[in-house]
Amino acid sequence: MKALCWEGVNEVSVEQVPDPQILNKQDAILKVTLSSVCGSDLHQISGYIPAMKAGDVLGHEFMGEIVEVGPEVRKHKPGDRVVVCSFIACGRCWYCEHELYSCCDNSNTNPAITESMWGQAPGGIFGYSHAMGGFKGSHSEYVRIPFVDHTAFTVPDGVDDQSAVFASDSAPTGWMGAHLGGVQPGDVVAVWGCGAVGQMAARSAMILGAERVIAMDRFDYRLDMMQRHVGAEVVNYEKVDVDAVLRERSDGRGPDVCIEAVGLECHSPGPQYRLEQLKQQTRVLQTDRGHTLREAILACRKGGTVFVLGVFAGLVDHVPMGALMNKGLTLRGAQQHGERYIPMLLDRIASGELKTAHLATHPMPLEQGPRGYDLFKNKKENCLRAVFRPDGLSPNGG
Amino acid sequence: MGRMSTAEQRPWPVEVQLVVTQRSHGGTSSRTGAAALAMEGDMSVRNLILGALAAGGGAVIARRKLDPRRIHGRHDDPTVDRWHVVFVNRPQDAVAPDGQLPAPLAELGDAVEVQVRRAAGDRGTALAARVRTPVPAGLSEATTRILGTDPRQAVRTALRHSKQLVETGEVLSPDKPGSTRLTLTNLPLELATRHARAEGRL
Repeated sequence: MKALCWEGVNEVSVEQVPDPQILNKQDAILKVTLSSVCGSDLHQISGYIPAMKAGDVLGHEFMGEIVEVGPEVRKHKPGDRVVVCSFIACGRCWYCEHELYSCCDNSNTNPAITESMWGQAPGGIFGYSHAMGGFKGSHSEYVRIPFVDHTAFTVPDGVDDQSAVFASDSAPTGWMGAHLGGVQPGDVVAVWGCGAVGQMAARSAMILGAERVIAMDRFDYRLDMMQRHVGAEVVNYEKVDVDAVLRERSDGRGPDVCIEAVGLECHSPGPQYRLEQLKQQTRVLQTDRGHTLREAILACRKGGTVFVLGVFAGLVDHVPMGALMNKGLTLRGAQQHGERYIPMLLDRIASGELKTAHLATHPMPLEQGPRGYDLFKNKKENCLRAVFRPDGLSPNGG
Repeated sequence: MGRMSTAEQRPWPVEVQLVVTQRSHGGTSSRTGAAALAMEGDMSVRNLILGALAAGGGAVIARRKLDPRRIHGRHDDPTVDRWHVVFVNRPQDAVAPDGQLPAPLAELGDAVEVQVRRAAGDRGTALAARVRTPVPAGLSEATTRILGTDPRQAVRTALRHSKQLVETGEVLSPDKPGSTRLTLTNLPLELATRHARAEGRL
């Protein structure tokens, strides 16, 4: 079958790879109908998460049709139209039972790597390096789904593919940031990053009752999408003093909840960005750039919460621990616990409360995958998300 | 198979303690515990070289920086194995029904000592194992870990597999057949993934 593979730093191509097989009794094989790029793919592609092998299949935000199931699959059957959580969850370990699905004890088949780096191993992810299990990704015609009864969710008939696919990762990640960040009615919430996850976090905060949501980015088309499709206030951080704006718009307190939705390749205005890049390239002084994290900690009101949705992999230099401690902040982060939220989010998408289809700005056949990543990474043609269709048709069937 | 007994050393209060004393391998040639522990050691000189590269890699650096045992010191005698523990989200009688250990641990036979106890806060069961005989230390440890013959590697693998079997009913297989190819830059990663369930902090 054909698949979009990582071939080396900043090099991807469509290749022929072996078809997936049922390897466990609780597996299924999915025929992929849509598979979206994600900002965290760029960390793998750019070599910032050095656990990729040439030939690895990319992609973790996807949906499709189940075509084969193992003998112990109970919930799903061939023909089911499902969206699949990017994180694989067994559903029965202590973490899954406590709805911390991305911390699943049983889904990462390479636990030694992340145990050595982080103390404990999180769960496995599709197409997300060998540190996270080495599972083949979804930018392919077919993909194996381990623990399918816990990892895949039937899509309601009223939800179209282009909307449903973002229930796989962007929407639950954003929702988790607002939910576990503790957004309360009347809160002022600040969101760093107006990509798909940032937009979903902002919309989720609104649904949870935030009175003001202020989102930051530097690309006008992303700010425009945030304003137009989500309804959040927007700030171009290259043109204003972010701290001053947030302070003013939160009545002098600072935002109650600050959501970082950018991660380890964040950009910052001014000459310090070059210094950040330089330190990152050493891989010793720091592995991850931390400007947005620092800004969130400094902006947050006393006793507030900073929630980290953006992906970080290693070490960030100059984290303002003095501010964190002395202001009494809560700092929390997580990879997404999608299994906790996906059914609820599909219902919200079906009701029209949560809109996601606009995120797919560049639908295209899988064969155009390298172009899709070029558009996405380099912010060309106002690309927010390239979404691949392995059957070669556009997501709308055309 | 394993039978219930009492061990001399109890690092924690135990309600049930199991010690594997014997394991027969019906239908196959009998294998001592030590041989069983060495079963993953079929690696070539090439892998030794790869391992040396990996040993110099970032994971080792990170471990040295972050491992609290390097601050507080390791065991007095480095050839005495420590307890390796997994936390199983099931009651004790599901982990070791009638005193029978999960198959991956039982297969290690006399080579390991095993304990089964209630986890703190009634959060299931702690399943622990350690190698009975002296384990490699120093340069010998580095070499056996690279070669995949360190007996602690088999213990870690058995514990991880046992936990998965009890909790989910099967051991999750890595994706295969693979789509990757060996390159010069991913040699250390290749070695790391070959020992991915046998190493780590467990």
